[in-house]
Amino acid sequence: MLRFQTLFSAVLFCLTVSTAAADDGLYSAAQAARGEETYQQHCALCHGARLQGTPAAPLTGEAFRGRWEDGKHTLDDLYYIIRSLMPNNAPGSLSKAQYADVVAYILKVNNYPAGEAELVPKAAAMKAAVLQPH
Amino acid sequence: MDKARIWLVAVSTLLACNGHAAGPTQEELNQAGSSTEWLLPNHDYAGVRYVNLDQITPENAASLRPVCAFQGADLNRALNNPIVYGGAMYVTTLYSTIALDPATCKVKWRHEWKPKGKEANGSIKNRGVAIKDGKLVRGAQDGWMFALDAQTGKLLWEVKAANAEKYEALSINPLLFEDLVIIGPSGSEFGVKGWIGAFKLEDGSPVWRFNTVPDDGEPGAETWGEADSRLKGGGGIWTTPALDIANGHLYVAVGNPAPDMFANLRPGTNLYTNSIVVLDVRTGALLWHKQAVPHDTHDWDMPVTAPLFTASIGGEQHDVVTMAAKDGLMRLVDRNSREEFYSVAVATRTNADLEPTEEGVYTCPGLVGGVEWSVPAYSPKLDMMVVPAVDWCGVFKKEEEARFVAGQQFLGGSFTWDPVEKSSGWLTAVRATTGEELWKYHSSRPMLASVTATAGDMLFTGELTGDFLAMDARNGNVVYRYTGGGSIVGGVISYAVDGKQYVAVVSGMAAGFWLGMPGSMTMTVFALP
Repeated sequence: MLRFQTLFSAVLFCLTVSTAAADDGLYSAAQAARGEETYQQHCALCHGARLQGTPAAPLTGEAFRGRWEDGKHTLDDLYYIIRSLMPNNAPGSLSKAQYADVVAYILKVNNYPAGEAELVPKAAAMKAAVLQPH
Repeated sequence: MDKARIWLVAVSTLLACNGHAAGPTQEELNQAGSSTEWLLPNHDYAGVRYVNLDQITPENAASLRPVCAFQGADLNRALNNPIVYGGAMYVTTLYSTIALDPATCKVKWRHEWKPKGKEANGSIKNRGVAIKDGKLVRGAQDGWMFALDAQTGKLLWEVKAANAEKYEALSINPLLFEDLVIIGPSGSEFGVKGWIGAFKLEDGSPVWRFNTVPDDGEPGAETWGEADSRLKGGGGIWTTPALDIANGHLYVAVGNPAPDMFANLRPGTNLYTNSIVVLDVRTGALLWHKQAVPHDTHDWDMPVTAPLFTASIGGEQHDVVTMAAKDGLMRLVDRNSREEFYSVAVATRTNADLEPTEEGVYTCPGLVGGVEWSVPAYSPKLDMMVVPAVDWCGVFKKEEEARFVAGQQFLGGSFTWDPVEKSSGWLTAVRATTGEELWKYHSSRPMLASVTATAGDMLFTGELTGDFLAMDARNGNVVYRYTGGGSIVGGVISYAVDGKQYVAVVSGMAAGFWLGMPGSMTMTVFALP
């Protein structure tokens, strides 16, 4: 099981040894479904239909946890890399909403909980959310 | 027979049975240019890639046939440069080091490296081993370097030579000279601050280090603007240096600066990125440098600092070095005066002098060159150099910001590739002493594999399509083609075993963005019937 922890709560933890964090779900199930469609069309060729990687990097499992869920990456970092570098043959060619949908799908596959609201590109919540295992 | 003579005979017999148990010696390595084995990644210290074998010729090459194949069971990039010495061929995959019989592909031993920690992200690969005094040395993606007994594969020593936490991966074939192992980390796009260093062959302990991106106070630091710009400034090492054994001058090819397309963070020429850096091999002291692409904004590394050769140019003998880069230019430079004799385009160049903008600039070469990791083959017999190159243009864009995200490419921009159908490759033959074009071979896909020239006027190379090519070096005609499946982007070598000439070809996966043919790492050996 994986979750977000906000920077805010991380600060609280450091300062007050407070408890854990928000785990509210930053994307909706409908958004993840749209993201899956976009992913299969633009990303699956390199990252695999099940995000397993080969020839490109895996987007799930141990490799994803090691690369992204180290407490040093925000959700906005993940969005920034996908938006600026992907798809590899045409970076930046999708809309910002499509990139956010793909991020939502990746979160879903990696067992992050869905919520009511959709993930909005560059929203404060994305910048505050730190990816880490729990 | 006295005891001493009995001992000598016994040792000689043992050496005869086991090849050269403790070799190659320094003297053997110094003479690699005339060897019919393959002792260094580019055949010899000078990186000439010319072998004095003439059994296979344009007249009989159509009779070539595969005689054996070894499958490495590895789906990582097949970029290995094999070594052949003492009756064994040494090949690598990302984690395996394998000794094969070079005439039958029979496995003698196989060693598996178990990573000791975090592996540097990004460009996952291994290019091969180096051999001297009975030791094989190679690097790994986790920053460790280790030595194996060449006869048995037994681990002799292991050291943490680079720091994978700082994204440093050891992928190149090291260079062994006297008691030194020369190696440096790749990873220019992944947050590396580059260096090349020497370690003791005996135990891997460090001897010297040269910063390809200078520290505070070092010469060249002033070419970067703010000090912070150097901390993840790139300058990785991803090809084996050439060495002039006459004077101990080491010719190091240094990679690109980072962030690749966002140069605002690094005003200046950004030494020593995209440069040839000439060092004293025994001390690491800088002797001179020459930068091919100052203040690069296109990821146009300078990976080629070979071959080194001496030839008559304008009626006088000159010691020269070849520089070729992802900017699509091949240059011939005097090693003494540093004068450039010529610079010839071996790939399409369009808008090459324009920096990327936020709107985008269509540019050739594209993000992948130009000339990639394979050095030109040099035939002294034909006064000819033959270099592979890539044509794959596209649109470079600069981002609004350059954000470093750990483990990800630090580009500060993007590249939109032309459709794959518009990508292609070239093999260009030029008169080595003048740069005059002699012939060109056009491939339907980028050309990346190494090229080997022989005394039989043959060239051996391969294509991303999976085709092995045997060509008439005099005119570029393909006289034998064999489609083996996986992409050919690594080593293609020729050598003799018991007096018979062979050609060995590495195939398998290329990096995903090349859109090559998939395949497990395979070594296929060819010979005449």
